Amino acid sequence: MNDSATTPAIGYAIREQNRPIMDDPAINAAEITFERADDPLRVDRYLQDLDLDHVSVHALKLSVASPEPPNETYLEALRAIAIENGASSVSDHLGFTRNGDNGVEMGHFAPPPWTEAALTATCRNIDHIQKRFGDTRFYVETIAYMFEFQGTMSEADFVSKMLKCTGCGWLLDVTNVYANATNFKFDAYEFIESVMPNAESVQMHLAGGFFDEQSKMYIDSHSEPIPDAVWDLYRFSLEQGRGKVDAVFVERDQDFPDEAGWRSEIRRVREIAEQAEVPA
Amino acid sequence: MSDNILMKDYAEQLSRIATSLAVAKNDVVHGDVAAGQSCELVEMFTSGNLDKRGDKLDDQLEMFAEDLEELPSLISRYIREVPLAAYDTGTSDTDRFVRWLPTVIELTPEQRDLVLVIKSRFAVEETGRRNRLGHVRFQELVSLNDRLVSELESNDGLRIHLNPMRTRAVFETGLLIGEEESPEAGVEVLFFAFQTEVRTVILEPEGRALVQTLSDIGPCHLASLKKQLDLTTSFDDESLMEMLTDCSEVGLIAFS
Repeated sequence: MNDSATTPAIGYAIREQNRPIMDDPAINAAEITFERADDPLRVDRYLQDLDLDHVSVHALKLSVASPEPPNETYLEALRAIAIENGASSVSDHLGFTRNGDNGVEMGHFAPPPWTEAALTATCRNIDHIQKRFGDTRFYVETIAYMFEFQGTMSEADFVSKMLKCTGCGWLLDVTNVYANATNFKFDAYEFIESVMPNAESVQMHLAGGFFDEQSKMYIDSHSEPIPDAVWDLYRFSLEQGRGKVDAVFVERDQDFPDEAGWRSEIRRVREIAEQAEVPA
Repeated sequence: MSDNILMKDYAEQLSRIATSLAVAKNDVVHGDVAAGQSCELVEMFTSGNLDKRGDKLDDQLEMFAEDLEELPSLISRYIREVPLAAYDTGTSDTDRFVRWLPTVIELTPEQRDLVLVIKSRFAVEETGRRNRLGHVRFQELVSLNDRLVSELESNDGLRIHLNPMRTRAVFETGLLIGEEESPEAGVEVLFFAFQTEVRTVILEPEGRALVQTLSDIGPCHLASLKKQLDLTTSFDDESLMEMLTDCSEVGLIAFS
């Protein structure tokens, strides 16, 4: 086993279905979805009595690419959940879910147009969020999208500039990059290779989806085991990000595995991470 | 072009996209989609979002299913007419739906009672959201109720607290309390938080006086409560103690 200080913290995005195996020795991290934890009548913290090395709170509505920064009420609620659960990081998606502060939600995030104006708004919002969270590091996740808006630069350039400009962490969702590369015919390895040097610190997401024959799209449904192609890309990402990957989380939201399935999947995540720490 | 104009244009573009996609007016954004990418995928995006929103409403409005046959078509209409509000909390859309409902159909008294249940539950949750500390502190006190209720008559220093996470409502019919007859004055009920759930009690006149008094005077000793109640009602000691015990068992009051 390698020095645990250099191996990323590893765990699941917590769901009721995987709580029973969160004491597995392969797990020393957890991701909390803010919208699940933010029960206004809660009396216990979402993590309950779990004691982990790394906890991250994953939000859905910061809408970092919106023209206005997120409102104080939402930020304060997010901060409260982070404090309650001893989180060392907070994350959300590179996209927008709403227009303005008193506006409307689309129900899911869409990618911003890859333009200078969107980049300016996104960086300004990330700065605002980072100031609000202080020492709690903020990570921005590359999303899987079904379409893009007209832009003036590539997504890789946009993400690289955003990371350089703000110093925020990169939540590299390996499956999302695989899905986008499959659906929009680009090289996932090249994408990761070009963005990674611009990230100071990295978290990763892994999940499994399926290829939809009707739309000819890979759908990131979080309903299947992690596919081999994503395992390979994960290995490559760890090598590229060696020394700066803080945590890796597996997401599953449907068609849950049995106990053995949960345990074997997370052990494989750790095994690959430990192997990747050994220089070639 | 100056930065200000670029940002103004961006704000307008995102506003147009978000307000259109929120209600699946997909054609509005076709001109924004990158060259060579199918607009059918925009439709897949919005229909997936609306389906999820509809499913959530369907789940949370389950109690309406029997009394409102056209519920599925009304949900379908609502999600296409009324966009999801920014920072929707998961239950706020259901609250908005039941406020929208009387603007499009005439509700029966029974249906109005169901609307009241949803609005009241949401009101309790929102009270909890605004006063998290108050909720957590009160629930800590409630956890001592089993022990402290037995000291109520012997411990003069014990103070009685009313649950701060509560809201009152008056049903028009007896439907929701299992009675066929509808009382003329309606049925007064109190919704309140217990741990993570919202509970309901029916308020008879004595219960109403007790809750009102505790609400008016705040946390108090039993002696003060008795004195205050004597001025307004004809409580006897035995029925008051019985009522306080019942209220502590359900988590409506607590002691310190």
